[in-house]
Amino acid sequence: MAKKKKRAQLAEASVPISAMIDIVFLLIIFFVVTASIDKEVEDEMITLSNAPHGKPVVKKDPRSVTINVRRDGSINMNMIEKSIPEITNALTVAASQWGKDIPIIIRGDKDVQHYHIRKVMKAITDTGLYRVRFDAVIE
Amino acid sequence: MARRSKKIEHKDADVPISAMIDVVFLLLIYFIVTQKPIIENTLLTVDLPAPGGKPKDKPVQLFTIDVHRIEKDAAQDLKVYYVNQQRWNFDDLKVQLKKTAELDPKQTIIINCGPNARHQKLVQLLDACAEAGLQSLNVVEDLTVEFNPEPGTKTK
Repeated sequence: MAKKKKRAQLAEASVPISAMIDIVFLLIIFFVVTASIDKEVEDEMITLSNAPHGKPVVKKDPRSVTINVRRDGSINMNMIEKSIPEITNALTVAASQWGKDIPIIIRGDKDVQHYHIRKVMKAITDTGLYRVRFDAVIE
Repeated sequence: MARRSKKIEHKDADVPISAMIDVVFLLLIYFIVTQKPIIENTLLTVDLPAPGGKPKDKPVQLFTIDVHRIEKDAAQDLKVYYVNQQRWNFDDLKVQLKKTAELDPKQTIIINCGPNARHQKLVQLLDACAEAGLQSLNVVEDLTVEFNPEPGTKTK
């Protein structure tokens, strides 16, 4: 009789392992799938401006060149700080490889002075590129 | 004897559940911690002036908006723009842009941006133009204003 009671108690304390593993694996697959892999071109130090009426980006042109401009005016491409002549050279190489219609995305900090953005825009026009976009967030 | 061998086979097929759960939870916590919120981005298109071109000879009939920093009043900075040299409130300007777009969505808008203006002010204006449906937006440099760098920023 005592043995029977003990067994019943043990059964009550068990955790539904298989159901839990199902849920945990589902969550892991979700996070793996949604984790983006092409974020290394975007500088996390930059706070983008808000543009609530812009069209959301559905598909990005794979040839896009991203230029980050931080609040202090420092400019980087793929997280490597560059001067304006270096940016011009990099854009010239990109234009010769993929053509002059490649989109250039300027990711400027919301508080950076326009002077620094202007320098990048001038480098773009000097290279002969013309498709310029300003990155912003929809909130 | 036959019963004993069956028991051994059963033991071999066991999965180390507790170790697997440890690893799986570790992965789950890692992904939860490193996950960033999904933010939708937009790309605002502008037209650039031709290389070597000078913005001196601006035709008068074009809709020209000046974007400058209001140094004296930071709270008013994002709310004030100048259209054809006249001071405009941003809300009124948005209404005017909509009216302009209704008449001609291809009307060229010249955005004359000063070097000290915050980038947010330009983006806010481009967003208002996008909302109105205007397609031809030219951002040009205002050469009349001197660059006044903020402390801690690059000057060259």
